[in-house]
Amino acid sequence: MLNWDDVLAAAPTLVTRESDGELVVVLPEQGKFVVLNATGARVLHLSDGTRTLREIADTLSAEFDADQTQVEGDVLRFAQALVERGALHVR
Amino acid sequence: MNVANPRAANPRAANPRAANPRAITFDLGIAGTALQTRGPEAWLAPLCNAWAAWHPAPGTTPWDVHLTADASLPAPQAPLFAALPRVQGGVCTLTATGFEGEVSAVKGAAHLRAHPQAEPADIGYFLRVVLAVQAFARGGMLFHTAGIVHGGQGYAFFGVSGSGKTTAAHFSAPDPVLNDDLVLLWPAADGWAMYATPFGRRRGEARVAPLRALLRLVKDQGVFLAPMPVSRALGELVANTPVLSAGTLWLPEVLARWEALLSAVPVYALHFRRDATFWEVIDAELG
Repeated sequence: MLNWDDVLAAAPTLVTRESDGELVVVLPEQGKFVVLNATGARVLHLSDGTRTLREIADTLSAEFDADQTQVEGDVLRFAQALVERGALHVR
Repeated sequence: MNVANPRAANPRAANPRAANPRAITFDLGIAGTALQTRGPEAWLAPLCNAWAAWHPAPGTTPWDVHLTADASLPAPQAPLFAALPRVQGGVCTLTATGFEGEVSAVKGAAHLRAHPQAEPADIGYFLRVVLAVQAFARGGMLFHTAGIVHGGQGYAFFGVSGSGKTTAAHFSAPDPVLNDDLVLLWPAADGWAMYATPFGRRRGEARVAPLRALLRLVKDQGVFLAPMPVSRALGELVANTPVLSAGTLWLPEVLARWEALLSAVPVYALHFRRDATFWEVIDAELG
């Protein structure tokens, strides 16, 4: 389970390509892929190894001018899913 | 006999154990690919017989493939097919107990050292990997799919293992099946062409067809075609592109090539059940 103070980083081997308004993320070591919407893609991009999960949620909340609680829920869900698929690592 | 390793009892592997096994050369080619393989006769003769009709097109420059029997390696414990290709620095390696293979896209050459107990099927798999790398380097792609020719057009049925590729091929009789598992996609003047390969089961003598559509198989009670988002299709198609998706080096180009193909060839989710009615739906929409 992720904590808000966790610092996240994208897996070094993943390969991405924007297509059709979504982000295709391929995980070559697992032979798998995930397709992310704009929010998921932004979570991935902000996970640069320097930001905590809370900082990512704060950034998204400001960018989308959205309800903080709603954004936190979305970010946590996306981040958890990406960690489970191996696209994000906890530092 | 080594009962722990049944592969040791294979009589076909006897010749490469000799100090100087007789070497022969075998040429293999599909579309714009060409491999010239030299190695022990005991490994290559069965492939020469099985794939005799798959000659390179005249004028196609081959990659040199060298096979070496090396008794200093440990005896194989499993088919080479079980090994996963790794891609790094322009080189694809295929390594397992008893096997050390390397394919260099930069040099345009490949080499496999294998224990003498390796079997022709192992060599065939290595050549398949080499062909995948060469095809990609020359603008094509191997693709895990059932390639079926219907009304002179090629239809590629793809999906995860167990999605129904073999079933689709079965219920398409007597239409030709280029291959029920692996085809070669190659750019053509007006789109893409789908070529047969010798790496799986086939039906009929057809060798190539213009690629009309990509169909992602979905087992269902109803039969219908549904639009498939390009992003989702891209992910699935890359996952069904053997060898090339094994490392980060070639993946961006693989994604770009699939995206280019999808701009020329439509992709659908084909919901189907275990009968031939899916062709009625395909004919109505795409025929």
